[in-house]
Amino acid sequence: MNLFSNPEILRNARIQLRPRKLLIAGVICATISIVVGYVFFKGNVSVNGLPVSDRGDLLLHTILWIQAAVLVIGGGIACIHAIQREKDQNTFDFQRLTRLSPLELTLGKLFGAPLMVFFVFLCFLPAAIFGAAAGDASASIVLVAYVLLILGAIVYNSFALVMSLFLRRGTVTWAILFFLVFVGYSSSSNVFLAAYVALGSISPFVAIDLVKQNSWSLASETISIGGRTFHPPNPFHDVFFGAPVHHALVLFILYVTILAWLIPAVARNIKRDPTNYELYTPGQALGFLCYLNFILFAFFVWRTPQMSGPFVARPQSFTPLDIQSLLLSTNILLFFIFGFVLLRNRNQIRRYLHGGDPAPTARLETWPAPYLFLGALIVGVAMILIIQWQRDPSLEWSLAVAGFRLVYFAFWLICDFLFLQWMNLRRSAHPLLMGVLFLGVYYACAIIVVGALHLGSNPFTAIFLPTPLFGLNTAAWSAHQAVLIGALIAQIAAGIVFMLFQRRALAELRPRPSSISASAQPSGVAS
Amino acid sequence: MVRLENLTKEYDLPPVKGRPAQVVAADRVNLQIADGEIYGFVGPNGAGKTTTLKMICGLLVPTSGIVEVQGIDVEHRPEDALQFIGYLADFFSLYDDMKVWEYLDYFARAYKMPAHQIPARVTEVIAWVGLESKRDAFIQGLSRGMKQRLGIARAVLHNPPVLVLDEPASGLDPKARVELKDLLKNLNRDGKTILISSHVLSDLEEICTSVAIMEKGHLLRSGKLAAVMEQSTETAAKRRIRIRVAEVSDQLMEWLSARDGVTEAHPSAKIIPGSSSVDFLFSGSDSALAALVKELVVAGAPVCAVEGSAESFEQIYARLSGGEVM
Repeated sequence: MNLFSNPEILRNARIQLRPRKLLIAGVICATISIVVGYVFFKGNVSVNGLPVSDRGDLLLHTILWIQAAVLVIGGGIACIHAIQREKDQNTFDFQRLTRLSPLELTLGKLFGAPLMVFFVFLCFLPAAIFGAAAGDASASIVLVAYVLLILGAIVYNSFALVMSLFLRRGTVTWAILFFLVFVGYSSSSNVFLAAYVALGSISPFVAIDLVKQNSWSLASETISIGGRTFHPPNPFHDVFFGAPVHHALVLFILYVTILAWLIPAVARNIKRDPTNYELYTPGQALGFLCYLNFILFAFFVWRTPQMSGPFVARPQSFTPLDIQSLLLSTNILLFFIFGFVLLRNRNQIRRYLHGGDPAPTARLETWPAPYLFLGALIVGVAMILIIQWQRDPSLEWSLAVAGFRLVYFAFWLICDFLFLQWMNLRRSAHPLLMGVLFLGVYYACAIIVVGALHLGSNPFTAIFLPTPLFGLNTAAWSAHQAVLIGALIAQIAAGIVFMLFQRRALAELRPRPSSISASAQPSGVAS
Repeated sequence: MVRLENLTKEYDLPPVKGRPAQVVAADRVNLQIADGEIYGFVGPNGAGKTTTLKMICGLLVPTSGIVEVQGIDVEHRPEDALQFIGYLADFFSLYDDMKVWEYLDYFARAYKMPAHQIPARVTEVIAWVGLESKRDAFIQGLSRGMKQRLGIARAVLHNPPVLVLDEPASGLDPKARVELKDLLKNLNRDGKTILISSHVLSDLEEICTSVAIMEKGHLLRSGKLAAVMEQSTETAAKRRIRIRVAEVSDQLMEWLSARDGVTEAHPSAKIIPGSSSVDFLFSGSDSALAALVKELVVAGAPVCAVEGSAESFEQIYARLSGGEVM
């Protein structure tokens, strides 16, 4: 498969790269490069005292920042439009009807939509090379920084393409805003996460920090301020299952593996009927959940991570039970991604019911509970085993508490997703959105009431909210075992209620009885 | 050969006044369309024509049932089946910022035609739809008729044996419609099987070899056009009869209106100078009609001739279809 002969890339090239457009873009980029270069080398008073090499570095950093912004944000916006605009213009059906394979069409969109962005990126390259040369930057570092920047931008653009696939008419502005927030959030440093995950930023903007490094060393720098020396952590020092590893290498592997998840997600849906989109099969979704947890576990600071830093008044040590709590609360987001991928809409269920799918009725009525349970079991057991292996024996740990917490976590998720699945099968304009809204309102109200009554750690609260479970310790478990088991039973009971609702919704979607006799008509007879 | 077996599509409509609706756009549709046919799909808006055509192309997944094109299951082997299908939608959707030849070149590549054949084929198709003078023009500058011709050029570019055309005449002026009919006839002469939906029944009657009349997702009638018309006339509960008489009198009208099986009797416009006629709907058999005419002659009516007027396709469609939409 040759990317350069991909018809979709060729089409985009013909539309975007007409000589007039190229000339205008080239002139603008050249002007910006010259102005920035002039400011750093001639005109700016604040850099007058700096040697030429530092000025070169400044030029390189600035141009690299512009290139990163263009590639990530510009490319992302282009990819958000790539499929959504075709759907809006009603041209997408014709592409779906061609003999382009889904992967060819996906790659055509991914690399075709941001072609002008790539051209602008190239236009800034001479200025960056000039800056690198003037700043005596390490060639290998600059090269790796560019590889990471381009690869990272492709990852973010792939994510934008996934969004574009699922966008509905009139939602593109919201999608762009969400994408910008996502880029901003992922590029900022997260103090809380940094306390227990030894993994640097996954943003492509990290390439700018990389070119600021003088070497590939993982040692911390020593800074002296007012006679005191500081050792700020090296942002490129990651820890993979206890072993130090350079963040550039980690980022490269992460980008490649994330792409291996994102591109197939688009490719398996891009030529489908939009009412039948399914990001991943249930098995693949489970695999994705395990992949995300593998990353979390691999870079997690298992041995008593400490919450410290300028925003934390008192360093806080974590017990193994706290670690489980921390990992489970981080997993809420991952499991919600997993759960949403598993949800099925009315059209998909209709096809199962009409198509004589041999899936037993029980599987449809309990969907997506079995996969959520399996996911919680795999992730939870792995989590407990690693904690058991890595834990400091002097700190508080109880298998019973950890096990109960895991089971409660699983049934709490199952209950929520049985509710969402039932809502998704109801007849309304935006059934899933309504379900999410109702769930959000429920949790908001519950949190307000519990907060107002100061019942946050009261075990009875576990009937309505999972919060007491995250702070559970052996003493509380011993004292309130009955209440906590009651709360678990309440979750199971609520799940059964939503399962019954789902059964009723399924009955409405079953083929009408008349269709059984009518479908027996011989072929060629008009009904 | 295109084969539909128990093709069913159910979906939900956006709620109207807060009440959501479930729709059966195609209800166990069974059809076999032989090679070389021009098969017309007729029905009111919302009858399920577009849904059926989209399922044939694989654009919509059926709720149940099978679509086969040239013996290939469209749902399970879409890329194999799509080489046999050319599709034109019921709207003009082209890339305005491309040139005519670029547009066709893109689709030729996307249909994986051999690279060395593409320039010649693009030139050939452009000439065939009469757009030679617009070859290097941007699509946004084309008229509606030209855009429609370009759409047809795209549909036939990869030389598919089956063409699926959804309302190809919509939005075209009379001249462009005539051109379109000629294009379709030429395509059919070249051996293409054409599936076409249209609201312009007279156009369909003129070009189609077979028709399917759809309403609310059901096939009311389907088959060869002549057979459908004949069957519809035979099965009609009432037929229109015209009796030519030397002179129409009030007594004659009263006498006729009082007979069993006669309804809506009224004098019709004079066709032949010096003679008049009476039109009415008759619900009896041929022998009952003969008895009625005999009685009429015996009663002293100056009967010159008796004719059963043939229904046009439009009339048959109007009678069969309640015009109900889902």
